[in-house]
Amino acid sequence: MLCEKCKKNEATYYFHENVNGRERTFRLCDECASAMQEKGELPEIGADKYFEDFDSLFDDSIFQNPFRSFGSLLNGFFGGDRALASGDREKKEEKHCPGCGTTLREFAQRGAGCPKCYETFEAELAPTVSRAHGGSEHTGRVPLKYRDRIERKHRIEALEAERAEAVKNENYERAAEIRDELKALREENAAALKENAKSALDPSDGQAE
Amino acid sequence: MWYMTEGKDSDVVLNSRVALHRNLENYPFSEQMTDEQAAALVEAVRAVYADGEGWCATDLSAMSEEERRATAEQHVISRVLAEKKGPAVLLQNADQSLTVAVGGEDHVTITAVVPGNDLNAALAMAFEAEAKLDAALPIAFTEKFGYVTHDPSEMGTGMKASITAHLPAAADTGWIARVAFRMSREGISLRSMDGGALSTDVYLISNRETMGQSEEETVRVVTEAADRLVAKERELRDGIGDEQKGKLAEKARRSYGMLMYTHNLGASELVSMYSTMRMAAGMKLVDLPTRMVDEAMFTCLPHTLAAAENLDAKESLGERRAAKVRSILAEAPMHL
Repeated sequence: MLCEKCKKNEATYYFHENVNGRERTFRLCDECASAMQEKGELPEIGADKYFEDFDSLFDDSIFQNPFRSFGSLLNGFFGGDRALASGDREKKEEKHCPGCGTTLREFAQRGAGCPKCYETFEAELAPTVSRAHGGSEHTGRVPLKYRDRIERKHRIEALEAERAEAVKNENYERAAEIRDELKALREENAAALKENAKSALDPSDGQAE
Repeated sequence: MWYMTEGKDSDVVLNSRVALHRNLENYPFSEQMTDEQAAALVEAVRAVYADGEGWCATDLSAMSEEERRATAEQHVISRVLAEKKGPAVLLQNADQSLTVAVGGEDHVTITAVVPGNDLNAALAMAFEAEAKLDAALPIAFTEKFGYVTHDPSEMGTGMKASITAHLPAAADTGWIARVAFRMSREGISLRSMDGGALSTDVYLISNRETMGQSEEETVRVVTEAADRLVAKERELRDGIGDEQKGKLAEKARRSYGMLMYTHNLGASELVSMYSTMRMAAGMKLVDLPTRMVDEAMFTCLPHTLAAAENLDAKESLGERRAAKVRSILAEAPMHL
């Protein structure tokens, strides 16, 4: 849908205002929304009705979840409810979470059954989660049992880049050193993985030559 | 509680809060959990923090309905958890700056609150508590999505970092409305903590994004946004003319006088006096510590007051509220 104001750009913002029963809606593009906001022509920031019955006084968004239902997000991925219904007969061979038995379809309808669901359906969920988070992956704190492994993974990536550079510069001595170092790191990771079998990490990750 | 001391930028900033949402492997999410599983989860986490000095464990089932709501009102637990039936526990340190809530939508939510503008301190406290959990129990995590949370929009760091600030000048001049939109595009959520005709001019500045940004970066981004707001608020306050300052001080003194002598105080009356008094106190136009204004306001929130007085929030609390506020203000009488 095009922006109602400039009628050129795609509308990315939707505002709905209700002042004493008089309703107004705006569908605007980034630029127009920004310009109108600056001029004070748009509804101001949403202040929740905290004082209704004083019941929710001083409540806020900290604990409110904008994507409470994952289903609505996933519908795009599944092509809507119809696709979900027609898939029932394939259920038998469908992948399911080892933690709670939730299938991908059930996940889409009801949300995750247990934390393991996210690990199980990581590949299927990646586009949706990625969309909800602007295309990012996690960076930041890592639990202890993943910490060494992830550090080694980063080290492996850095060494691979260094080896490629060494080969390019015909520094074969350094390239051989790095190769040995990489071999040791990968062996360490494989050993750690065996120990950590319970965590069900993707075994191919960081091991491909 | 955070309002017992004054922290950095206390003329404008009330508190800083970091909440970490964590889930444990091997337990279903709460909707799918049986009571036995929930009880096992509660016991497992309780054991992790059992040796914390001065820590106190409170079963939610042992709390009255008002106590639960009061805890939610003080942002210590979610409203969903406050209404929840079944096993759940609150683990808190002695000064209640750190809370580990077990059995909510996320298995464990660790919340650290400190006075003033100091998200780094809150983050350090939350991390320290989280490290104990991490050392003892397997936390659900994937390399791609980060910490697994019940709400997919919180995946990644599973962290909400927020700063609560009193911004009457920025609100009054319309400056906030102008920057809120821009800030939202920078990943900052700016929300007012009031609505309708009553305004406390208290705003919550928090992160919208939890993925692709480390916890430290998020804290930096939110702090930068808060710092900008604090600087602008101070600049606007400085620009107020002497005559206006005199009027503001007079209004605060009158409110103080009324609060000191009234025996029946409505919640909305208190709210309507809060902003002027806090602003005048923050600008040092009157001899009144800002933390006392905050204490009067936050201990008199409906459910908090009702829980403290063993009453129902629907009952008339006017007399109790008046007594509570008088006792707080009497601690340090205002000198004229």
